[in-house]
Amino acid sequence: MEALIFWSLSGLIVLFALLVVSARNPVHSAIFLVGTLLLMAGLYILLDAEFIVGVQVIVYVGGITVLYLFVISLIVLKRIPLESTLNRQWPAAVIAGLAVMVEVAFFLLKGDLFFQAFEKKKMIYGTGETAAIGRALYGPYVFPFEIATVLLLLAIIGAVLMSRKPEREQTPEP
Amino acid sequence: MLELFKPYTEELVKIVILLALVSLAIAYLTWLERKVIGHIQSRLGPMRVGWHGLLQPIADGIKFILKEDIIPAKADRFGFVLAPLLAFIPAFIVFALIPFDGPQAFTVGGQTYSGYVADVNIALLFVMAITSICVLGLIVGGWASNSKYPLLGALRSVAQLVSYEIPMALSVMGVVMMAGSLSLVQIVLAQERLGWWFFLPQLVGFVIYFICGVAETNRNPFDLPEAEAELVGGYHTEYSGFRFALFFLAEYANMITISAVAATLFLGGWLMPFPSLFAPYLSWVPGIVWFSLKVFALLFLYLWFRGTFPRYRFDQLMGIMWKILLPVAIANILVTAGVMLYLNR
Repeated sequence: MEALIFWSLSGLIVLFALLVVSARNPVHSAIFLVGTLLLMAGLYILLDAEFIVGVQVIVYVGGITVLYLFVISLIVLKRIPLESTLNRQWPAAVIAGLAVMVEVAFFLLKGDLFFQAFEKKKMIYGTGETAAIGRALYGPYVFPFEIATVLLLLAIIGAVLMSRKPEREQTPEP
Repeated sequence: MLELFKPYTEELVKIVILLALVSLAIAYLTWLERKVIGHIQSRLGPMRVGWHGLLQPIADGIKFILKEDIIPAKADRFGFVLAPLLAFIPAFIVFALIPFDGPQAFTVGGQTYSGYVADVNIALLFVMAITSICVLGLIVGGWASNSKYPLLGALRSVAQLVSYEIPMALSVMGVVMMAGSLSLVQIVLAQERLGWWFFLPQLVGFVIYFICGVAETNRNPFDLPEAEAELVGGYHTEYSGFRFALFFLAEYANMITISAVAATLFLGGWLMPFPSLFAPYLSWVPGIVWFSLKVFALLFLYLWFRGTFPRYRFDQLMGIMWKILLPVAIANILVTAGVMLYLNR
């Protein structure tokens, strides 16, 4: 049963991922991306990582893709479908794709060592439960966690600074 | 293949009952809304179809199904067809997680059954996650209509919904901390153990949650996405017939969800009020009745708001969220944590 679910989920994920990159219309791409992300949440359920499922859906589906759609729908889309889906960046994309494939292959073949380390951690903090994640994040990993928050704050301030109009003399209030 | 589903018979039966009940509840919520708003404005509301208009929702339902389904020629067909489903399906899935009654709710043929479909250990997070999918339906629908008003309405909704999710999630943290669990069933049981419902110690959280809930469902006074004077009808202007009905049903289903989650988190779910006082006389009343009464009271509040409050301006809407609700929600978490630390010293 579990194998059946896993393989059908994986097949669908690959299918949707292909649709994301092959769709002519960026909004359609974003919709297929939602499908991919939701199906990946299904894989996390199989791994008993319920908290990650919730976060995946809230952050990626409810947050990030919504922002993608927000931005895309403000662009005039009449011209885009006529352009080629392969643009100048394809060599870089090929290199990045190959790097990920090598990484996956490495972990498939030699991953045992790393996964043993993960198993030990699991013993300390417990598996995927919310409380275990909380203990780990606010315990030994509190420093990297806080660094990440500072990074995000910097990104927000940077975005605000960049979007601010250059200052001119004040126009009188109407 | 049937053998595979055999262990899930109980859940499947419950899902079917739930779908029927929730659809009926939505239909009569629209009737109640028209009646309540009518009486607030010194009118009678629907009176013609059935006794005091009781068959009105059924007539409306038939009308929706029989109407012509129009897809605008310039619309993006794929998005236009998909959007109502994106809004509708998550709105109904959420009900699987809501505990209408306790773990031993009713007995059929010597076996006890629980009053919920699934007790997931991160149910609260799941509810938030699934309701956040509904936003996609609005923006895809608004964009796919390929028309100005729906697009503007959709952009407004998305800005509003995404922002109000933040204080909403923070406002329930106090409850999660006090109950020590994200499971909705465990949260109600924690209120039973504590002896009082969480809306007393978490009054601030309750008020913020409900305000955000009203904003999340695009209801008055936060119904800017559908401000008819400015935007015709908001994101669903171009929709007609059954596709419009799906958006409509999703909105009302979301109202019931918000009220049901608020009743579970803050008003003790299926628990009886004042058990020491009422338990000897009223213990025969099933928990689902108490739960329904609480949900109904909160839904009435929604209708009351609509009848009495004027609409906010967009900058006021964002100002309230960022300048008032968010800081107060964060302060509520800090104070709750401090008090809990002090009491558990």
